[in-house]
Amino acid sequence: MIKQILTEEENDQLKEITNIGIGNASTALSTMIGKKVTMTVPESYTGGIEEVQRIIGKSDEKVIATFLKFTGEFKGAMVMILSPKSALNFISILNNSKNDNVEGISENDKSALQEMGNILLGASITAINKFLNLNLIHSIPDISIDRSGAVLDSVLAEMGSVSGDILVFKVKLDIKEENMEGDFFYLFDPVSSSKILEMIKIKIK
Amino acid sequence: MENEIQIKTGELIVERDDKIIRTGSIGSCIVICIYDKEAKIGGLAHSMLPTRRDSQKVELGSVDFSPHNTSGKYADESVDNLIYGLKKIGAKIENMEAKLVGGASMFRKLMGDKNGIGFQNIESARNQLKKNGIRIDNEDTGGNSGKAITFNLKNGLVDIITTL
Repeated sequence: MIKQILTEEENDQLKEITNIGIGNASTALSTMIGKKVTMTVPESYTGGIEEVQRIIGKSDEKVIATFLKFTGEFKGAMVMILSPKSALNFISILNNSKNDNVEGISENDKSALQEMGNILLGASITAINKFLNLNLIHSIPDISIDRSGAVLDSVLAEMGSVSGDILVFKVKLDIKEENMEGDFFYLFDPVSSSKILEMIKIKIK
Repeated sequence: MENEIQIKTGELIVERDDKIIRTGSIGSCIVICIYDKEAKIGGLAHSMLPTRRDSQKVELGSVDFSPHNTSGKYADESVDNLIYGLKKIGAKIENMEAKLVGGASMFRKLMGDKNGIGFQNIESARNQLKKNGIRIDNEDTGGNSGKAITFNLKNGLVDIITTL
């Protein structure tokens, strides 16, 4: 179990890495849409994937989820979860198109949301690569409009399938002037977590 | 309703009489329902992964059936645990039939192939049921959308909710 492996200090170090990534990502988003973007300090969840799912995926609300995987020195994934309202707001800013509901959005609008995921994860990965001197690359984005619980259980199972355990960081992004918010999840399996920690140890020596 | 029982991800339950078991959202997870229509006893597991990769398998005699257990995390073990639990409260294996729901690929491009976790979950549950000689009465598996179900132990009927 990760719980026993990670000390508080190590957990803080991993949080800091997520922070560096998401900091860069929110700057990229802010530049793109010309609005102020605020973000919370990452919250971390560790343990069996079913326990983490019970905490972060408990709702049956409809969400728009953009998912990307990254590979290289270690593997992980990022998921951006938006409420229908926030997703429609983003689409209207990015594509200048008006929609009443998410079922009606065009492929082009879906593409805009995927591109946003792409930019956000791209910026985070670049920052992490630079900081730890790595060569992580990320996949194309994929989108799903469904129940938040169903989306998150799939993502957790996919990333935690080897050991059944997972480490998740959650960050909330907020664009107050547009009344929009989104949840970002970074997921690492335990093997990846310990690899990142090794690299941090080398870095801070 | 007071005879309703909400089941969480990874959890497993065996019950009887007029209870209705309700799951949360099901994505790539597989929900395994086994029912003995003679005894009106049924069990449900909401499994996330096809099989355990470590060797910490719990012996059948010490499977946890208390509320909020995690005995249903792995599809293959869930089948064995359900059969064991159902037998313990009076069901007979020759009367048992199964229903499967779930195993979707929520992200078509990145999880849509046969290596996807949803596909593996379906296969694992099917194989383990076959090994135990339990017939699959019906299933709604695969696809690209999330679901939720209720399992009525009065008659063994499974209601699938696909709307959001």
